[in-house]
Amino acid sequence: MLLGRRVAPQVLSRAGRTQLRSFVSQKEPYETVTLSNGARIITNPLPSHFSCLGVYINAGSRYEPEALVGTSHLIDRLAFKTTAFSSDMDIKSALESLGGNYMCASSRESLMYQGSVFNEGVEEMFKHFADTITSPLLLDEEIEEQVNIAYYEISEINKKPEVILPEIFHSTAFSNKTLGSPLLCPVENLPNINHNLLYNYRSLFFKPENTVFSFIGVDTDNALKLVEKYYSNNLENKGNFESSNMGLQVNKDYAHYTGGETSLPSIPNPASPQKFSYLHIGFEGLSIDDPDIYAAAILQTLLGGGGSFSAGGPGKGMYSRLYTQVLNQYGYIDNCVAFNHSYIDSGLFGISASCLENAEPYLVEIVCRELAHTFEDGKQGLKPKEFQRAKNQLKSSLLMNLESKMVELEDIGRQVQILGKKTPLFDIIGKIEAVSLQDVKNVAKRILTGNAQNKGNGTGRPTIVLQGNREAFDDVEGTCKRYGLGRFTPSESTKEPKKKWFF
Amino acid sequence: MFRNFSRLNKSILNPSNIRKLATAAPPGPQVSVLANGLTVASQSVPYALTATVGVWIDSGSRSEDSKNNGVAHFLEHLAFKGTQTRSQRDLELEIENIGSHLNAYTSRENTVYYAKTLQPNINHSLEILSDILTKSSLATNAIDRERDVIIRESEEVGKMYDEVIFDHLHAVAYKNNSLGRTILGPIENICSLQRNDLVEYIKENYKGDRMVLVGTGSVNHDELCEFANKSFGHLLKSKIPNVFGQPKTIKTHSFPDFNSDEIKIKESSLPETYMALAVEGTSWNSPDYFTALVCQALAGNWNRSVPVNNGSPGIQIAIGTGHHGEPLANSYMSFSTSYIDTGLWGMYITTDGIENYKLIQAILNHWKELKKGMFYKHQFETAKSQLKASLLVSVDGTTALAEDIGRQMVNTGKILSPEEVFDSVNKITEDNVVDWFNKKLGAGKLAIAALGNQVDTMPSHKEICNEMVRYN
Repeated sequence: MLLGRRVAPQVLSRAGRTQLRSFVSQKEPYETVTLSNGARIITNPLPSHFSCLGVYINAGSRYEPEALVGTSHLIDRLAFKTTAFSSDMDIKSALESLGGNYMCASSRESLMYQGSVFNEGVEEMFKHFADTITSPLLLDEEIEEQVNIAYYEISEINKKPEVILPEIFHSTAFSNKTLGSPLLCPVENLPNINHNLLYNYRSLFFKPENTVFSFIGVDTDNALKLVEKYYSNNLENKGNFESSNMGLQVNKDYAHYTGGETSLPSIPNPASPQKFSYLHIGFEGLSIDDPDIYAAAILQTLLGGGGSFSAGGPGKGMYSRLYTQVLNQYGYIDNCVAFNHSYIDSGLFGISASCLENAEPYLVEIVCRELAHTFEDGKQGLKPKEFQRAKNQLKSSLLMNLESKMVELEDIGRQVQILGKKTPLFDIIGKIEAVSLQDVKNVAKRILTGNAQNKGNGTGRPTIVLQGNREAFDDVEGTCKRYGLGRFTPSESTKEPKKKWFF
Repeated sequence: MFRNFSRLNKSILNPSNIRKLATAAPPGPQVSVLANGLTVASQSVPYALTATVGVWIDSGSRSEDSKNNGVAHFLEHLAFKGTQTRSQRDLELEIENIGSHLNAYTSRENTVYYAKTLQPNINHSLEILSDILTKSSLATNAIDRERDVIIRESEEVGKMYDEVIFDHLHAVAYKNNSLGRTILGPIENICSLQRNDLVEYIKENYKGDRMVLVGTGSVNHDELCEFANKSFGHLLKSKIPNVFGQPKTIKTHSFPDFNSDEIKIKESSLPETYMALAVEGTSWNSPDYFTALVCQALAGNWNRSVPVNNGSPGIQIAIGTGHHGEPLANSYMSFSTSYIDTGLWGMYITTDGIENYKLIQAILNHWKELKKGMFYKHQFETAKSQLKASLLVSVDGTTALAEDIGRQMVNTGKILSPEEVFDSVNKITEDNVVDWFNKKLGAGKLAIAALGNQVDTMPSHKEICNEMVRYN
C-alpha cells in the first residue's frame, strides 16, 4: 500500500479535524501519452480482475453549429451500429458475449463511449469501440429507426419533471445557446436528420486531436498498441473525413448566462392523488477551473437536502440545511435539494424543490430565505460545525465515488479532455482542506448575488423554472430581489420591494 | 509488448497458469477466526483511501418461528435508534460529522450492518457498528414508534408485485418451513412483538460463530482482528458449533422439502398478471451452483422494449409475437436463488395479455428445448460470458467487494477468488448444462405463484407438471 504514513486513526477522528491529506499518496499510477496524430491516452495500469475503457470526444450540444442542433443526441443513439467491418448484429452479439457492459452517452461538452470487461476481452471490446468511432456506415434504415425512437423518447421525457426541468433550466439560463442548447434533438429538427448531416457532424468533431482514450487495468504500452492497431490504422485506411462538406464551424462561443424565467403547465398524474408543483431557482455558477470551486461544492453539500420520505440513513446528509430547515419543518414540501453544475467556462448553482399544490408562494419564500442565509452574518448564518461536517462529507463522497473503476475511468478521461492533465487527488484534498468558513460565505455571496463573473460576461439575473399554476407562484423574481438574491440593472432594482407577508 | 498482452489472456484461460496471474493481481482476502468463533475476513485494495467495514450475520427470518416471524428485521430497524451510550441523534450526528455512511439489511438467511468510511475513520466507524450491534438500547418507546414505520414499509412492499410473488412462491415451495415465511413478518407480529422477543432473538442468534467481520479497501487485517477481539470477543459461541455453509442444528432450521404446489390469486383490479414458476434449484455450496447460474443466463430474460426478429431465440419469437404478431407477455426473467440447503430456479413473468395458456406453453417448450440441448454454441458462450461479467465486473468499489466477501463467507464458509470463479464458469460444458436441465426440469415438481386479473387462463398445476415430464 502506497499510503503516506499511518497515524493512530482513532485519536484523529475523535478530534474531528482529521487531515485526510496526510493519508493520500503524492504518487499516482496514472500515465498520459499524446500520439503523433494528436489523440491522447491516459492509463491506470494497476491490474485488477477486470478492465475499463473509455473514449471521450470534444463534442456535445454546446459545440453544435446552428445547422446541427440536436445532432449529438442521434450520434449517441447510432453508436455500435453497422461499420465498414461488421454488421450491426455481429457487433451487438460480440459485445454481449463480452458481458454486455458498454454504453455511449452525449452530454453538453462531451461524447463518451465507455465499457468494462474481464481482462481477456479488452482487445475485442476496444476493436468495436474503435470501429464504431472511426468507421460507422450510418445506414439510412438505422437512422430512420433511431429517429423514430427519439420521437418516443422525447415524448416520454416530457412527462418526467425531474428529468425535463433541469434541461429547461439550462435552456433558460443560457437562452438556448451554448450550454443552453438542447441535449435532446428538438422534435422540429428530427425530420432533417440524415446521413449527410451526421457525416458533417462527424467530420467536424471526430478528429484525433479531439479524442482522449482512457484505460484502467491496461498498461500504457498495451493501450498504445491497441489505439494504434485499431483506431489510428482505421483512420488512415478509411480516410473518413472527406465528403459533401457543408462548411460548418464548431461553435466555440463562451457560454453567455442570461437568466430568465420559464413556466410549464403541470402534467396530470393519474397514479398519484396528490398534485405537485415544481420550482427551480438558480444563478450562474463557477467554471471547472475556478479557484472557488471547492468552496462552492462545500456550500452545495452544506445545503444538501433530498426527498421528504427518507434521507437514506445516517451519512447521506440528514443534518444538511435543506433537511433540518426545510424538509423537516414543512410537511407540504416534498423535495428540496441543492444543485451545482460546473462546465468549462460557466456553471449553474441553485435549489430545486417541489411542494403540494397551493403551497407555491410559501415554497418560493422558503427557498429564497435559505439561499440568502448562506451569505448572511447573523444568527441564521453558516456555523463552523455544519461547515466542518459538509467539508468531511464532500471529501468522503468524492473518494467513495472514485472507488468505482467506472467513475475513475470517466474522471481521468474527462480531466485530460478538459484540463489537459489529471489533477492529483493529493492536490484536490489539500484544496478542500484549505477552504475556510469565510471562503464558503464569500462564494455564496459571489454566486447568489449574481457576481460569478465568468468569461461569458453573464447577467446577474436569477434563472427561474416553474411547473404548475404560474399565478400561484406569484412574483418569484421579486422575492429574489427582496432577499438580495441576483444582480439587476439599475432600472430593474428600483421597483418597490413587496411587503413581507409570510414571515 | 503486445505479445505480452496475449500471454496474459492465455494465463487466465489456462488453470495451470493462474498462480502466475494471482501474483500480478492484488493479494487475495485474509481470513482469521477468533476464540469465540467470530471470523474476520478482509481484503486490502492498493491506493484505496476509503473502506467498507461491516458485520455479516448468519441469521435472518429463517431463524424465526411463526410467533416471532419478523423479529430479525424489526431488530435491524431498532439498531439505529440508540445504544446504551448514544442517543439516536448522537449516533446520526457522529456518522454525519465524519462523512461515513451507515447501512443495514435483512434477508432470509443473513442480517448485515456495514459502514462506508474514509480511512482515518475506520476504527471510529467500527466502534459505532459494535455499539449498535452489542449495546443497542431497544427502548420500548422506540419499539412502539418503529411499528408504524415497519407497517408502512410492509405496505410499500405490498405494492411491489415482484416482491409479493416471490414471497408467495417461497410460501408454496417451503410450506410449513421457516424459509417459507416473509422477512417482514405478518402485520399481527409487527404489532405485537415486544422488547423481550428482540432480546431473546439476539441471545439465540447473535453468537460469535455466526458472525463475519468484513473489511475491504484501505484496511489492515491485524488491526481488524485486534478490534474484533476487543469489541466482539465477549460474544458467546453457539452451544452446537455453527459451521458456515452447512445446515444449522437450531430448531427453526428444519430441512425445507421442496413442495410441488401452486397459489393463484385472482385480483381483477390489477391491469397485469404476475407469475413465477420454479423448480428446486441449488444450494450455495452445491457443486452445481455455477451450472445453475449458467442455466439461468441461458434460459434468459426479455422485455417488450427488446426488438424481436428472425435471429432472436425461439422463446423470444414465441412470446414476442405469439398473439397475432403482438407479444404474449410484457417481460420474463430467469432467476436462480440459493440458500444453505436448497434453492429456487425458474422464471418470473409479467403480462397484460389474456393468452396465458399459450404463454406458459411457450415457456415449457423453451425449457424442453434446453433439456434437449437445442441451443447454439454462441448462445452458450454468451451465457457464460454474461455470468462472468455479472459476477466479476459488478464488484466495483469497496462496498460491492465487502458484499461479495461477506456473502460468500457467511453462506459458503469460503471465499473464491475472481480467478477461481472465472475458472469454475469456464469449466462448465454444454453437457453439464443439459444434464442439469434434465435433472431439475425433468423431476416433475414445480412451485407456482400467480397474482392478477388473468390467473384463471393459466393451465392447471397438474397439466404443467405433466407437460414437463412428458418427453423425458
